[in-house]
Amino acid sequence: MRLETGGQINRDKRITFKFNGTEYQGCEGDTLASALLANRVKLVARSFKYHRPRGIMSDGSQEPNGLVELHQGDQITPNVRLTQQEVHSGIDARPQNYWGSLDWDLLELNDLLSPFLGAGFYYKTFMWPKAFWEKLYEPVIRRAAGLGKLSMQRNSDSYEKAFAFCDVLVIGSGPAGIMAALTAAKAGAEVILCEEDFRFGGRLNSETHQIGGKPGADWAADKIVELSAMENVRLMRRTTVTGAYDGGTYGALERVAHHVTDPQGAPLECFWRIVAKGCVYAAGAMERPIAFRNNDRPGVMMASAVRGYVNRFGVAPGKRVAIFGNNDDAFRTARDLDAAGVRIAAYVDTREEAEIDGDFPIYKGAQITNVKGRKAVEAVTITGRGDVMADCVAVSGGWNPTVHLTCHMNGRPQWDENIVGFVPRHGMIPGMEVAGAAKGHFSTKACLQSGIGSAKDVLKSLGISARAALTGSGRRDVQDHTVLGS
Amino acid sequence: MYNAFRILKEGLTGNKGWGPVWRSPEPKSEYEIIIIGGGGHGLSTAYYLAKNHGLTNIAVLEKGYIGSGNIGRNTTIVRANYFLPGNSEFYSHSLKLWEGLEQELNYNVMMSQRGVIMLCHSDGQRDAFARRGNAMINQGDDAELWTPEQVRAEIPYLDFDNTRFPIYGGLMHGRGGSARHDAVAWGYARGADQLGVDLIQNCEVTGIDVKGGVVQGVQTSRGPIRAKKVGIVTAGRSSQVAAMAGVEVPIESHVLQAFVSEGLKPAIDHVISYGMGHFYISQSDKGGLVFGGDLDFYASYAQRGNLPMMEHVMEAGMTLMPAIGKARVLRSWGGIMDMTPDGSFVIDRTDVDGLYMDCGWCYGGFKAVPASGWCMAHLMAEDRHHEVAQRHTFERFRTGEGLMDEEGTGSQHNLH
Amino acid sequence: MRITCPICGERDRREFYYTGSDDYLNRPEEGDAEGMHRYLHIRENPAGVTKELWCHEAGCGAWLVVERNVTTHEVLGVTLASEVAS
Repeated sequence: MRLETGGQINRDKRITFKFNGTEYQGCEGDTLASALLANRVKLVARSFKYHRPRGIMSDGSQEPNGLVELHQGDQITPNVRLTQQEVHSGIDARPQNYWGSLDWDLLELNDLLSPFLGAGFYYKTFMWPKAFWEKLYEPVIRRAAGLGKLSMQRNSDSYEKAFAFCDVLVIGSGPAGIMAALTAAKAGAEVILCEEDFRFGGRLNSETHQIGGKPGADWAADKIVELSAMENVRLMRRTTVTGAYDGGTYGALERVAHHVTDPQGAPLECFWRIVAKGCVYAAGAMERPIAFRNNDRPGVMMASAVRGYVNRFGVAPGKRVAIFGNNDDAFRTARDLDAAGVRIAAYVDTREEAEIDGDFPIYKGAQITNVKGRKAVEAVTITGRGDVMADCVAVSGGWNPTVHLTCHMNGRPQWDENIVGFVPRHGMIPGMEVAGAAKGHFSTKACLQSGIGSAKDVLKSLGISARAALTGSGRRDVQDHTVLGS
Repeated sequence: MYNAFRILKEGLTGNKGWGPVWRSPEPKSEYEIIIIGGGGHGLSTAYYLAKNHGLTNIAVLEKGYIGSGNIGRNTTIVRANYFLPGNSEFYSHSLKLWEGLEQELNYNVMMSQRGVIMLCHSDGQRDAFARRGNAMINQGDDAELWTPEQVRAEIPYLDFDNTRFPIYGGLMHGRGGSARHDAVAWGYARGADQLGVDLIQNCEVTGIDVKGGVVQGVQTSRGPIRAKKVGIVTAGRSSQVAAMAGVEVPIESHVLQAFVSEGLKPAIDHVISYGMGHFYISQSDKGGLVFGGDLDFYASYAQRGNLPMMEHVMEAGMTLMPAIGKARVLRSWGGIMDMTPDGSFVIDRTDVDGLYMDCGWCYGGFKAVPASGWCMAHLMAEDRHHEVAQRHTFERFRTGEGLMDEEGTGSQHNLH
Repeated sequence: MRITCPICGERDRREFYYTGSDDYLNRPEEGDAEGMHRYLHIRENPAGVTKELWCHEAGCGAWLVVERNVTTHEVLGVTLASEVAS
């Protein structure tokens, strides 16, 4: 449901779109996910095999559940993440992978038969009679498998490809990426800054941190204005760096026109071959879920996503939110929800010694062990307490650095006991320095500093003096900013 | 025994009756036969040594885990549409083994004979395909020359009127298709284990002991192991392992990339090969489009490729079938290909007595897994070549007699 | 992969054509059958540093000897083949 205030959306600009045959309204600045949550749509998809009801789980490209087909004329784009697609008036989003309707999916029968359909069951059967494999078993399996569908009509959209060259490629525009780009740009280096989202700023847009005395999102916006005024900087948003290759070559997909109804002759996408002398990788981190029964029910979400929807989109994913965490970061969700007036049904922390204070029920040394409700969360089961009514569960199991791209050239990340996660080793991609949360630095202050430090390391290897960066505004930012929750 | 009743019974009793599918034995100090390499070919060699020749004092030594090599990362195509004597009879034999593999192994490897079609784009190419089709029929396999209308009826989403490569028809090989690659490794591993073969994982061979020109055994990361006969079945690393015994091989290692899309509802029903664009594609039972192209064209052991070939493959795919443009690539990978000068494989003795090699599979090793094991087992057990693999010797390169250069490109490793 | 042509400078790999090991520079004497067999077929094929013959096909057309680590794809040096051969 949409909150009265807040968020980086334009409430004056309403946009009507279609999901599952129904018209909904969103605002400019919404993703399909935030707009659907604002309209209290919980069930958005069905799982791959057991066809369990699924809802939106995250707020980014890591979304595993909220995948839909976008229909336009005779074209279908399958497996579009609700959490990435911006709303526009041409959107006709339809659920996928069901038989019947999204609400009443006949293949949900598979869930009841799950004892017989365990991992790899198909290797052990369907062998008799021999002729039945191609004629019966396999066609049935193929129809049940797969997610979205292709229209198999000729794709009439235009696509483009291009080369780009730079001294320093910065991947990610959170606090680390922005400081890296500023540091490199002020030293005179040719800089390309790639951001997957349609808004620069990374997690700063979804958190309530203050930097330099102002909200993090505003700070990021100011810095982007500063960078965009520099001739040696190219800012590329809606651009996912997809691969790291030999010789400082990176592949990047720019979604040029996925966010508009009429591309007006622009290509739909452009594939960039970026050749960079050096690279700062600041792709952030992803929150870990926690395993418990029915933790895939619509309404069970990552805690960072729950507060992200509140802070960035002015949307409360639930009216009574249960929070379940095992680390200090989970408390930010409680703080932000409380500040936005969203009721916290329970705060459950696995740690006896956790220091939590708030005007809501707190259960320390406890766990959520089950979720009640099928197409939406109705209650959670808490150890030592029993069932508590809730319509949303915010789960935080800590954070994993987004190491994926660093592993593209055979390198293996190393285990870091301090963050209980994998972090990149140095030199996994020649010429690349890793900064910020992607390196395991989880405070804003550390991210800002690590962005500067990594850029300086890259500049040094390129023989570019970083002196200008030291005396620039970037340095002051680190000294002045206020860090919350770190 | 695997069957539907077992699944029903286990499902009703909490699935507690399933045990490990194969044992994890400690290596013994001596075996009759050691197979180096626990990939598809090594496992099938061990399986047929036990099954066809009654030899069970065998160890398969695998550096990583079963299925961690190219058997676990390929594009799963099975076909017998070769032209030249030597390859024709070998792949024909292999396809026949594929057709009964589930029942042989009591393991569903999901062999799916959905048909392999090679598209042609000119009169000359169609004539060449007619000739190849006749060769396939003479070998006893199936081939059918399809008109453009037949292709259009079955595969309507192709770009038939492409200016540069209009579709003139195709050569359909109906018994070809695809199989579930991991299941092939697991099925043979389970079968070999049940016949008494020791599968030893995490056991890297670091040396091959040779005395007076006769193999004695191997040195491994888990200690020395003696053996009367040793088979090197390590495609991708053939040169390095052969060098441990001082054997030189006519192989250069190259990288071949492949790609899988996100899961999609059934869209592509056949295995489609577009030779002019170096592109081929099929759809797995799970829903991913599985496709690939040509080698990256430079020597590599990196197990990853670069953008030029990736872009080429995507563009070729969009040229042939503009309908797949809305699908997104989920993952890609590169495998190490044992490229030989004529593009055909080797199953042969080496200059070291008791040391045999099965190598040089270029990028076509998956479909050969059953026959490769069958013929390598025959060679190692009987010390003479099997009749369908007599020509696949090292000597053919020295003499130039009986080279099997299907593409006619001559002695350059990366051109096949 | 990027290769620095001694004549044209650093270019993308797609401008170059790979032929194979620089064994090709050492053509055996006429009539040396065993030598010709080794020349055409036998390769050391190390999983490490190699010297290879490349042509700057879409550039100046020069033949190059590229020293390269085939396990990491790192290019260690590029020389004009004419200089190596002479």
